[in-house]
Amino acid sequence: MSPRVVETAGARLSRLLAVVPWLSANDGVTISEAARHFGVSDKQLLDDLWLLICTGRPGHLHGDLVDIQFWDEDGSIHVLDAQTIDRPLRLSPDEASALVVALRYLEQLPGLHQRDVLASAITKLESAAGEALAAADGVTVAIESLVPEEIGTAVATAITSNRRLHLSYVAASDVRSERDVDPMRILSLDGRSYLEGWCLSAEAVRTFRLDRIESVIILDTPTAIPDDATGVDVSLGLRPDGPLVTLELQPEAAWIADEYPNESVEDLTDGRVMVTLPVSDERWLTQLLLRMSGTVRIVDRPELSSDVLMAAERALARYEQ
Amino acid sequence: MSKSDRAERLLNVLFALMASARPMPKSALREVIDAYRESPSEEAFERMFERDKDELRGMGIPIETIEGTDGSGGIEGYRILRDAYALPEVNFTGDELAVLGLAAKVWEQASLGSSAQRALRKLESMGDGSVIDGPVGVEARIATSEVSFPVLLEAIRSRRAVTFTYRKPRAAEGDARNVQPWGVVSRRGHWYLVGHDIDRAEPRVFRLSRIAGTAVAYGSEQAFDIPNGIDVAAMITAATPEDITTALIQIDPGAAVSLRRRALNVSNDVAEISYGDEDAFASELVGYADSVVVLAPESLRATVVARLRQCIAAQARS
Repeated sequence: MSPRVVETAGARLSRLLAVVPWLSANDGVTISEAARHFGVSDKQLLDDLWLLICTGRPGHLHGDLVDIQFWDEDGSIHVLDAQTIDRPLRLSPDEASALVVALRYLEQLPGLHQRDVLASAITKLESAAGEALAAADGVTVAIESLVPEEIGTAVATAITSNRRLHLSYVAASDVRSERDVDPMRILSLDGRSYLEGWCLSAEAVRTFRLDRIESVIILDTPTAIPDDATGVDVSLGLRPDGPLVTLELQPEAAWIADEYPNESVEDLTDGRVMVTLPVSDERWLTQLLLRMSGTVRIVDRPELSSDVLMAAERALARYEQ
Repeated sequence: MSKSDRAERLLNVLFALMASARPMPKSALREVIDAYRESPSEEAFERMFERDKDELRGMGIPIETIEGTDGSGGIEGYRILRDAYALPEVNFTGDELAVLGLAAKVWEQASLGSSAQRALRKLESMGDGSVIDGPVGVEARIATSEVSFPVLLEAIRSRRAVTFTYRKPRAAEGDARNVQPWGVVSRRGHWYLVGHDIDRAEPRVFRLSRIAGTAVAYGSEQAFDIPNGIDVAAMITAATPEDITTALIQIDPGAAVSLRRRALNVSNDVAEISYGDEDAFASELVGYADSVVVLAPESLRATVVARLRQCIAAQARS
């Protein structure tokens, strides 16, 4: 048996009811365009069209049926008679709330430059959804943003006007750097926002946490992003690169396994946890170990432990002099 | 029966019920829908029709049941009014549709994601033909793998209470919580639930990653009201200790950048910084090693020194 996508009749009907109004609103689109829009194969879309033209009012005489012309050589589709499904089905409470909660979430993102567009889209959606939205009332997915408004605005302005940015940036290791970046997008993952851009110092695409940008200047230079520069695939999340380090965490440090992206977590006895995570900057790790004052042990990189020991001794010396 | 036959039949039932404002009796439906007419018995037809009706209603298609006028309570027939079916007239600009598209991509979680996509498909037919002004330049995802996230959103929507086991930071065992959920909030990349803790009879904040297993909704819908005008994001902030004490920290030039950024005032490399939780602040300061020295207050200085000694002892052991 060849593998097939199993689709329920309900899911298919839901698409059929959306296909007809969309084709009516976009007269002359091709079969491939329509298939791509609905995320199905050309064959599936053709099957949908064949099915549609066999349906209609009881009697099924000429004039009772849905009439769609889709056999022109150029592949274009024309809806001649949509019968009573010329408009899309009302939004269900699930659909309306999934979309409106997401829109309200977007409203809170720093650096979204089209706030007026977002506001008008929400107003229109609310009027179109009507009662279906009563359910979404009060569903709040909020962001507590730590990004100063002026940083977000400057970054958004540079993106829309294709201008280079000069950043003063503080990395997680507490090291400040100055760099020029050609901005590409603002990424927001679980409420945390990043600038993604072509970094001229690294000559690579880099992401910068917006709340770690100290200051930003929009330069007069237009952006020059190499054609082959591709953004990160946000569906994979933002994972740091770097050699793996294994840490043994006492119970009071177990939150580290929650907090930082990691490769593996193993529960040990007495609430201790073993975690293996990528460390791109050893200074960051030293800092973390100092902060955790003895509740974290490096399992596999003894030389890093001595860095921590020496740093702590130097610090103590300043208090004892 | 193949799926395509069923989709076709459902669509024909839909057309039949929309064909006139007059309710269509079940017997008439049996005559006009091929599969109903061909069903071997009245019983088989009834079962098929009930299933189809449920399926259509489940999709949000408003099938009305019209009772007869003879007062017997019998059913005269069924109908779908076009106005009740169709999305109200609305026109979106190209830019607005682009923003809707962005919103539909926010949900990484499957059920919310497909609901949002279905909504988008419907709304995309309501464009006013205007073209997009420019790229939105933003990509947003709620990619949390917290299994309780969709459960909580649905419970907030239906105003149902939830129950879950909540792990305390330093304890292996969790305890049971019963909460009326008000909202979820992202703070510094972590998700929190804000709600009314039923057993403790007061508002509480819970970190989603400390919920063991999955939260479960229980009890009836519309079981509570979310207080008017509450700001769930502000509640999270209020749940963290306020900055009340001011410390004097000597910071080496160019070092401890993030700390310096928070200073109320810096002169001669001595920064005034306010803090709430002494322990948490001391641990942050230890992280900067020898590039900072606490000048005041004395208790903070002592805590930092004690932590540095702990750190040295632990590293020397290992």
